[in-house]
Amino acid sequence: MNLHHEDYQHKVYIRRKSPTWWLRNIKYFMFMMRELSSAFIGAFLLLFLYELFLISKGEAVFNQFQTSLRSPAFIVFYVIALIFALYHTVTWFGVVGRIQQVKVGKTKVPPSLVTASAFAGWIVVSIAIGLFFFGVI
Amino acid sequence: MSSDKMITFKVLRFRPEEQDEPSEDTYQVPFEEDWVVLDALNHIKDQMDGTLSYRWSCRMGVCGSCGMMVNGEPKLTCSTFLRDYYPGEMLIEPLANFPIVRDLVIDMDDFMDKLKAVKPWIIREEEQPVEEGEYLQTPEQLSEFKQFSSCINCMLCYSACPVYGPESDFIGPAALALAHRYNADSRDQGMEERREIFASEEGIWNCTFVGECSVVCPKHVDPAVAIQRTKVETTQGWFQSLLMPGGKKK
Amino acid sequence: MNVPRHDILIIGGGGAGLRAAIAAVEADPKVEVGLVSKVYPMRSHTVSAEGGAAGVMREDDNFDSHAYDTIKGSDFLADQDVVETFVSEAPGELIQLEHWGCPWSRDPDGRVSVRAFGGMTVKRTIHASDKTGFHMLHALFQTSLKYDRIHRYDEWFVTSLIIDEGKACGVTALNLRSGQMEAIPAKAVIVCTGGGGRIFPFTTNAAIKTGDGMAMAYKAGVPLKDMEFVQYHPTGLPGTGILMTEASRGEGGYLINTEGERYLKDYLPGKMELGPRDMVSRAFVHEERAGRVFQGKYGSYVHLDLRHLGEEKIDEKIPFVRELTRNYVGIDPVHEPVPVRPVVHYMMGGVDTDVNAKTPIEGLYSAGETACATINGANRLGSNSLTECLVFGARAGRSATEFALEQEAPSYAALENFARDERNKIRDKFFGDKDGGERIVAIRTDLQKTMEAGAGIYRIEEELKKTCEELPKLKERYENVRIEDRSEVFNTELIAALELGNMLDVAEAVAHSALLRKESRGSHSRSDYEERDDENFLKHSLAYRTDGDPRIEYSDVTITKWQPEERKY
Repeated sequence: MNLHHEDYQHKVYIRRKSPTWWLRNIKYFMFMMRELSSAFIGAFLLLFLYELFLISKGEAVFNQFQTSLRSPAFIVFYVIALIFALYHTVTWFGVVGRIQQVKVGKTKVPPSLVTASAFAGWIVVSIAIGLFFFGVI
Repeated sequence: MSSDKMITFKVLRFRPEEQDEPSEDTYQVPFEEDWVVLDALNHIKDQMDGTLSYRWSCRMGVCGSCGMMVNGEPKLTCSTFLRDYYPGEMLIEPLANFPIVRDLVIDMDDFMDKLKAVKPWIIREEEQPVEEGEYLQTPEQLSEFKQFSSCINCMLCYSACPVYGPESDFIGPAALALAHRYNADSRDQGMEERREIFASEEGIWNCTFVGECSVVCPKHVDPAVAIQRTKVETTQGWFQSLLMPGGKKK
Repeated sequence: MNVPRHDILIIGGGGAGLRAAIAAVEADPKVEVGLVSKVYPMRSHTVSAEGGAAGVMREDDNFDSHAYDTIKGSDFLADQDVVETFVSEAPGELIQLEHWGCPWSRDPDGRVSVRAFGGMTVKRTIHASDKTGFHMLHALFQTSLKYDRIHRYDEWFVTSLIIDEGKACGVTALNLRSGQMEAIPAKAVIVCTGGGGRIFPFTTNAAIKTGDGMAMAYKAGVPLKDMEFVQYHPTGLPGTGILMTEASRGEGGYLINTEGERYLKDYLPGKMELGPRDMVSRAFVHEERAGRVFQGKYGSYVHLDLRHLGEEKIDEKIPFVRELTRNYVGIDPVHEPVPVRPVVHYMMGGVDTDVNAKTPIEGLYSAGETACATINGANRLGSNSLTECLVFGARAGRSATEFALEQEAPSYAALENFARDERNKIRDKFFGDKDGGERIVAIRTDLQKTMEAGAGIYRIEEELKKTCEELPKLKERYENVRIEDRSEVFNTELIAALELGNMLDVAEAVAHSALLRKESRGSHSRSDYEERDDENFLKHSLAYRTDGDPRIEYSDVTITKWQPEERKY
């Protein structure tokens, strides 16, 4: 037996949030965009996997598909997907230093250094892939 | 008063005995260079309208009582200065995502239940007798969880969290950060016991890492990071238990 | 009506109250505890304490040293047997709190760190950076959540103690949420409601420090002991009164006057900034009279200089000080000195208790700042208070449990009468139809003004007499106080009015005790009686409530090992 809060009928007022809550605040909007970026990254990966699959179908089919990818619609899609992918990467690298604590021996690597290393690694790998793609490597 | 400058305060009111819905009252409050929002509210209550109800106590940002929405942002009203808003208008509302009891006072029963649910106490298999002295803990070990022990339970993070609003089952930033504080304390052995709660659907996995909780936290607890670290640890632990069944972890 | 079955009821959910609750449930597996607090326990004023908690923690220390420092600090008014118990139980309590998770600051070897503090000859103050009270309170609160036998009544305001046939048997309390007044029965009651610093205008104390428990015990017939001893903390921010912890001096900070000098060399050449608080505060007044202090918007102040400590040390040892000065004064202590002045901080006096936290009323106990056992005498040493909450909170919990388990449950019918009378009293006083009447703030401000004038750092007969004459007039005005808020749900104006009534009772005990103590001892400094008078006043004052002015009696101080001597640092 207890005079606990549950025993009393309290009249409280509950404020309802509108479904467009994320449109009224820039920070929530950017969060939704970050979430949306996964959809575009996923779509890009599916396209890429399909491309790879088409290689097994022979050069003609593959080249035909490649040509279709040069249409304005696909180019627009790839540009938007690139922007979202870049946004996703930048925001991710920004927080990774705080979440994953990196230690060198006993010293903690400061988050900003972890972030900088992630960017540096990304640039190096991107350059390497680019050089390979253009046949330099 | 040292000056004749005034600032407009619009305050959300709710009188459950008389109203079915909140309304807004407007007050003209003297503007003082070193006043915080709480000073203005006290002035209103003392001199103008004694019926205004709100919580406050320490007026130095450590008790966590005075959280309210100030122009749409969750803030501690004892640490929010009028001079950062003057001459604009101030809109004061109760903390978002909580039911309103009266005026600026919200119902925090749900929050209190969630604090308790994560078992925020030292859990050990065996207690060392007090006579044997303290558990040794190096400054490095202390720094693993120190930051997460600074939470003043002000609930600004719950107001900022877009998950907690519509999904009030979500255990929430402060409670999950508190769970991590104990999980990361070298003296504690209770992570397994807490796992059922924090690793549930309503726990860490309901968090989509918006990160607003950490932005509004007045004590730099960084609950978002606490939750993500818990996710990493929990996932690693799950893989480890898959690959090495029978290995006992903390 | 569902009648809750509590063996023990604790009023106040701060350091002492929570410690008592945990001690009670651990003392016996059957005991049920009710914890009533006008705020959620995490909001209790313990949370603002910064510097540390003292105890004999190291091999270079011993109980006699801690006891002697405490007794000398008290200007020999402390009861030495109680002090000896206190110092012997202090280390165990601090370690117990460590076991409960309190994040004490550590040395590289993993042991709990100790720091220097005012009046302590050995470093024995352990701390959790400079938010010790915060970490202690949260560790206690979170640990208390383990026990289902601790039933909390959060945001219930206790209006009176129910004493039936000379025994405490419960309280009447107002549920803020519903506005309903209930009688909560218990077989023992522990009062842990803190002090009453808000009767003064400038204080480190939070809004909730209105002396409710002291006033309730006083009204129930318990004497308030040593009320004239009010501690001024030497370093509070001017205006807000926000506390700048003594640890800032413990870590090496200086107090500087307008001539750029560490002026304490003229008053406390031995301890300097680490002298006892009453002496450091008095030094400020002397500097003020000599015109060597700065003038500002909120009166005079001196400088707390931390610049020579360096940014690293400040961020490591006293980060909260840096945060507070930046937020509230716009000054970074790494680069500029901080303006500080003495502000009211702690009441050494309180509800008369013995070493087991027992009051003269059967079944009624008290611990923490509310109580006066006394270990602090005429002046408290910094970092003894947090430990005091633990030691006496635990003792109160255990004593009350032992007593309660032998008692019958009180009759609910009798209690219901008390509740009904209390309901009617409040309804008639505050919700009746009245013409005119005064706002709460008018009476409260005048109360604070008269207390500052008569019972400040330096006191003198004429001013004290004026205050003692003013207080009954304020009480009369209080009879006519008007509240605008007529609602039931969360009526904080009603609470403020009830608190004002408590403040007036506490104030009269302080003023009259001060008037009759014709000597200077510890924090009670009389300009007309500048010397300590052991012959006539090596005694505790006991203020009893009457229909008119309080009746002041005296009781002896218990002396065991240490004879009173001149107090020099």
